[in-house]
Amino acid sequence: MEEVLRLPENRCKKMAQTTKQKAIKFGRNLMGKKAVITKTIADRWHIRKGRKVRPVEQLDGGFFERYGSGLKDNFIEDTIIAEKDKFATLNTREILDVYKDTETRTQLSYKELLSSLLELNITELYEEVLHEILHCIGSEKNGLNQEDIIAFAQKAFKIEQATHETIYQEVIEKEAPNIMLNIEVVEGKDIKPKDANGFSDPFCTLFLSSTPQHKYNTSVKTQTLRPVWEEYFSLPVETSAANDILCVEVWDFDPAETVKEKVTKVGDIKGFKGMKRFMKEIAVTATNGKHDNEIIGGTLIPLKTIPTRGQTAWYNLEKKGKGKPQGNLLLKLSFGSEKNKQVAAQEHRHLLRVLLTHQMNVQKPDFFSWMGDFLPQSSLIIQQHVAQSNIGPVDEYLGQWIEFINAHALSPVVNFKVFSDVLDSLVKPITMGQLSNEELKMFWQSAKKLLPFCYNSIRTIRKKSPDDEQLLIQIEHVLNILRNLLVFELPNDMDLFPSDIYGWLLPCEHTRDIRSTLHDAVVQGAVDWHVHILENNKPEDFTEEGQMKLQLKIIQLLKLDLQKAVEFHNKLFIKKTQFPYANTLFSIYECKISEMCEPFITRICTNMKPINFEENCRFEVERDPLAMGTSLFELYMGIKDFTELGKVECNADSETIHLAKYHLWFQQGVARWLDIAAYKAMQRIERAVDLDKLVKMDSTSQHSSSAVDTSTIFYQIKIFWQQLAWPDAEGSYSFVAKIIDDICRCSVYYSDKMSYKVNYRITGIENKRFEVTKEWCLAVNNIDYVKQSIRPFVNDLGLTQLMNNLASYKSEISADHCKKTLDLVVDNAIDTVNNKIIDLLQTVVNKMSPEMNKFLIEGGEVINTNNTHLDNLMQYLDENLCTLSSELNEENFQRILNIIVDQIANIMFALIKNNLEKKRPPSYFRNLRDSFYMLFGFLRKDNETENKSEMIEKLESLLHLHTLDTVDLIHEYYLERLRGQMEMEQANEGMLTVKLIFINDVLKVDVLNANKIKAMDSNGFSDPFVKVRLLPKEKFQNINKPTTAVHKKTLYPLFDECFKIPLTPEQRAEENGVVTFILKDQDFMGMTDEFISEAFVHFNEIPSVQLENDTGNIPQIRLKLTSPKSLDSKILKTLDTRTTDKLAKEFLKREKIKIAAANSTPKK
Amino acid sequence: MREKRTPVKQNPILKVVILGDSNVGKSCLMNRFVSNSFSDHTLHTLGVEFLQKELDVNGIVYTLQIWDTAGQERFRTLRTPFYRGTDICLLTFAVDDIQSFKNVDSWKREFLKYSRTTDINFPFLVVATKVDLEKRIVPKDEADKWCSEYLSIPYVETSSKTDMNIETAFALAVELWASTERPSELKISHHNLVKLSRPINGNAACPTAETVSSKCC
Repeated sequence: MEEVLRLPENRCKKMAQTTKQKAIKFGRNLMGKKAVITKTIADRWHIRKGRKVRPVEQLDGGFFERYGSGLKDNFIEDTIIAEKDKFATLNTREILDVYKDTETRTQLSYKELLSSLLELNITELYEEVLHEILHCIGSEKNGLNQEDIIAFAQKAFKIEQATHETIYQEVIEKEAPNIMLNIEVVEGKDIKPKDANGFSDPFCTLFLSSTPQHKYNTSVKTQTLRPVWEEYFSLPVETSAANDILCVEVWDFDPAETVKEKVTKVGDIKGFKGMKRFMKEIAVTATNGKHDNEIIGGTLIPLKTIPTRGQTAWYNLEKKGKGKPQGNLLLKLSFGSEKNKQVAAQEHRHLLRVLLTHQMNVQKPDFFSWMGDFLPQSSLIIQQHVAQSNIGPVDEYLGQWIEFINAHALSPVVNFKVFSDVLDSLVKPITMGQLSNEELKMFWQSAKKLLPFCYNSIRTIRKKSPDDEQLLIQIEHVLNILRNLLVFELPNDMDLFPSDIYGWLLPCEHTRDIRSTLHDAVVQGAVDWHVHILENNKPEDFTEEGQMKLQLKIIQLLKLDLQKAVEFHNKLFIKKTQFPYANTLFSIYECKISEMCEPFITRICTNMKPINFEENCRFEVERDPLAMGTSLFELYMGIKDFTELGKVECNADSETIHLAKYHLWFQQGVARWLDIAAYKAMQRIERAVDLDKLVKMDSTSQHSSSAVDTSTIFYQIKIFWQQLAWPDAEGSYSFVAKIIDDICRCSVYYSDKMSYKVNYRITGIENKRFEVTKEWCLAVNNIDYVKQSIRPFVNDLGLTQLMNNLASYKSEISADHCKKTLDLVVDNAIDTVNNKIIDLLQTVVNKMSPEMNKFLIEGGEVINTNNTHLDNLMQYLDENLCTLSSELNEENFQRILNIIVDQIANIMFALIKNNLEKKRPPSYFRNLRDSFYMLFGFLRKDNETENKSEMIEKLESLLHLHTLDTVDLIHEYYLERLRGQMEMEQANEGMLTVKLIFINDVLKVDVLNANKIKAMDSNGFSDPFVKVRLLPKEKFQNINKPTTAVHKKTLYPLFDECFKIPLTPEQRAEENGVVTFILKDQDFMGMTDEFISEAFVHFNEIPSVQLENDTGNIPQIRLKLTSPKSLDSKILKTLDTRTTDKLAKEFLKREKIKIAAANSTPKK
Repeated sequence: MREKRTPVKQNPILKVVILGDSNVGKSCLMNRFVSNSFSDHTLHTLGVEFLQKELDVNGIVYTLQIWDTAGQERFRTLRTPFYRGTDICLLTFAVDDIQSFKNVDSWKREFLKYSRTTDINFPFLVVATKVDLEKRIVPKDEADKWCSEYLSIPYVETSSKTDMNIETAFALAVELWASTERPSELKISHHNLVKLSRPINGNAACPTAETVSSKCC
């Protein structure tokens, strides 16, 4: 990250990109990921459109684009960079501040440190060191000569030349130090068998070649070839040690009584020295007494081959005359002194202090940089001291622990790795109880000094870039130190955490320990960081807008810190100390965020002013009260991302945290935002339509800019919703309902605006005949395009998921209920927009109407259908249909075809009505009919007869009537009456019962009776009789026309008469032959019989037999009697137009009489 | 096919919002009106619900788009966005619940606040529900008097259970709308502004509460 700062701008971007990818790879920057995707889509979009910012966006300063655009990313990057700068300067300054504290507390310098060595005269120590240098032992010299080392020591000890010379003289005269060679005889292996039983009874004899009289023997191990002794010996080394040789021999013991006796006395011997003596005795006995001990083998080890710090090694046992080794022996060899252990250890610590001081003065290491390496001369001096003063490893580590910490407390130059390693080595001795109480006390006193540094490094973990490798290593070592200290039991007589140093510790009830203090340190670090962020981000802008932006920045900075913690530190804390670092940070931060945001946001959301749609003025972008919606949204996103990070990466409990219900703070704000968005969307749509030039976007698209702009608005609202990711199901449902409702309103609004534009702004020259232009088609396509975006939009809102959530939150039924509501709203919107499309298509057809009308009127006048007028109409239609067909989609093309057909039907209908007044003959109408069907066939490729519109059916029936001859029309009337009779539900005018049958070509009619017939006379009765007639009249001229007898004064006449009517085969085969029974009332005067009612039977209904014998069971038919009531029938009206037609006139006259009779009341 | 085959004169579309306390029977009122069904056991409405029905008032067929709202306080934020663009508002109370009656005025105020209507003659109608109940608490004369004198809003009594005055109430509301004088440009903006409409087969697919078993409290 830091490189970003120094790189030129173009590379910066690249780096930012990599950072982003990294973040995605880590799977943490959820928001970043989304933003990247969004941005890619947006980029593609821009590329496709070939321009950067669409003019529509300028209207409101990119209101929608601010949601989910790449802006947020940039913001974060900027913030990081800015903050980094701040911390870079802060880093060094603050770090010094922290350590200044340490310094003022101790008030010691290195010089003073030296004088603090009161316990030991420095010159004595110097003398000791010089003595050791002069009597260097061990194998290594590191190519340093004695004089150099002495000069070095003099410098390190800051000894004046005169003093040095005096001391040097004393040292030279002094005897060689009493150095001991410490030997542990560990074990042997592959020892040659010497006894008859195949084993040996081995024991070892040790002596130095310079003093062979001083022999040391081990115990005897009986009957083994793998003896384990683990016995210790200290052999005094003389001044001439350099050339001395250690001799070790292994013998096979041959038991002699005297020795056996002595061995049985082992139990009486007390103390180590006694044992030594005892062993000597045995050895003397063994070597001087009578025995048959036999040597197995031996080894010679020159002392100068032994390293100063000692070694453990296997040695081959050789025997004179034998080439092969006689066995192997494991020896642990080291040098030591017989000094008092405590004194030696203290001396060693002082030596370390002197050399460390010198080291620091010479090397002047940076803070935390010293890795524990001494100058070569110092190392040699230290090694010699270890060897010659018999310092054990535990003493050595403890000395380092104490002195390194002392030095560090003066100036924090020691790297934590050094402490960590030393402590690692001390863990075992301490837990095993190898330290004395005094030593333990010293250990803890030092630990107490070190701990503040450890905790400070954790508290100030943020001083360095989190991915700084050194820092991570430091932290790892610090944690390692704490982990080790955690294991130990704390001394109860010592206050490890004095309040004057740990001012930052949180008040607590229980006893403090390493872990609770670690917790406090982490908390304090987080709190400090929070304070630091607040101090560096003081509010400058006190508007709500400014405060929101500030809060967002603070949240993002805290999130950034948490993210870093998760990415770099958390694992270390968990691994080393099982301390939930990220979780602890999250709880601090989420609490702070909650405190900061909740009251503020709730207040803002409650106070947000709704917008008046009626207000038509445009806001300037800066003063736009709606912009606040953007900041609020960003703040929401900030909190949401922060909370997600906590839940996903920090194991935060989503139920109990303060931020659990953060979204509710915003609820009212979101509601208002949706209102704002709807308003903005409509504003934009209006503008988009204004700007639209009604030109295709490119060669492949079928719509123009405003359609794209409109669906882009939808897309933005969708992105807003998706990013919002509203957490609770109930709220989501209501918001989604609102969004869908708004989108639907927008679609309809767009349709209206588009239609208006094309209708009023794209108009051709007046008085010129209308031609369909591409603009009209584009307008239709645009609306269609917007319509088609509705369903995918709704699906993308995540309805399925929402319904599942609702189902589990409430119930399946509730979810179903809600789904139905949403479906209904969507269906409605799509229907409405479809209707808008149809309206627009209708407008187009209406504009074409005058031309069509003109051609049809002219065409109707000419008898021949192949006239040029019709050709002209066809050509006019064809030209326009070509445009429509190529520009519109299939669905809309079919729609407009239907509308054109309807329109033609409409025109022709008006034409017919018009011409009826002109008393046109049926042939004129036939001509029109043929024209219509030609056009109909032309417009409907498949000549489909289904789905005919109402208009066409109306026209067809009209054409049918007017093209029929009068005779056919009259029969059509009877058929209509027959249908009316069949459809009648109640027989209001009585019933007539008859039997009818065809016997070959003879119709046999039985007129049986009638009942409840209408009373025609004033006495309440009628004098009825029945006339049987066959229709059409013209086809049945020369046949019987039977009539029954008259029955006086009855409403229930019983006729019971039978007639036979012979027909010609042609008459019999008459397709629409109808038998009619006319019921009449005999007139009182016998002049004209009055019509009562009538009934009809179609030939199809009459059964047919070959022989008269078969007529046995002819069923009775009960016919409902009816009468014409008015001239409303279309057929009668049509006949009425034929005023010059005699037949029509006479028929109408008769029907009018019937109507008059049917409507009459009985005569007086 | 829901869309019109041939263009016909479109119905005027009116957006109706039903408001009132939780449990006064707003959903029942709507379901009775739209699908002529009634159930004693209706769920609490979640936020909002939407249904549509055609209604012939004085020879004009209106398409009523009815938004039923959730009366519970916690839904306040979620229902108020739907007030905007409303043509008619029904304020309901139940005659066995005095508090719901007292709250009618606050519902009116909530509506005016969030709908941002500038129409001083906005058509409200107070609808009393559950008049079939014997344990009636709010007397008719008192309610009627209060509505006309204090609120200046017409008042109608209904029962969704017995189907009393349901269609009458909606018809009355539409008449109020039709008779209200309002600035002409407001009327235009109403019709230019975005209406959902389904001129044909408008009252299909009505979710009813009949199958709902859980008891409302």
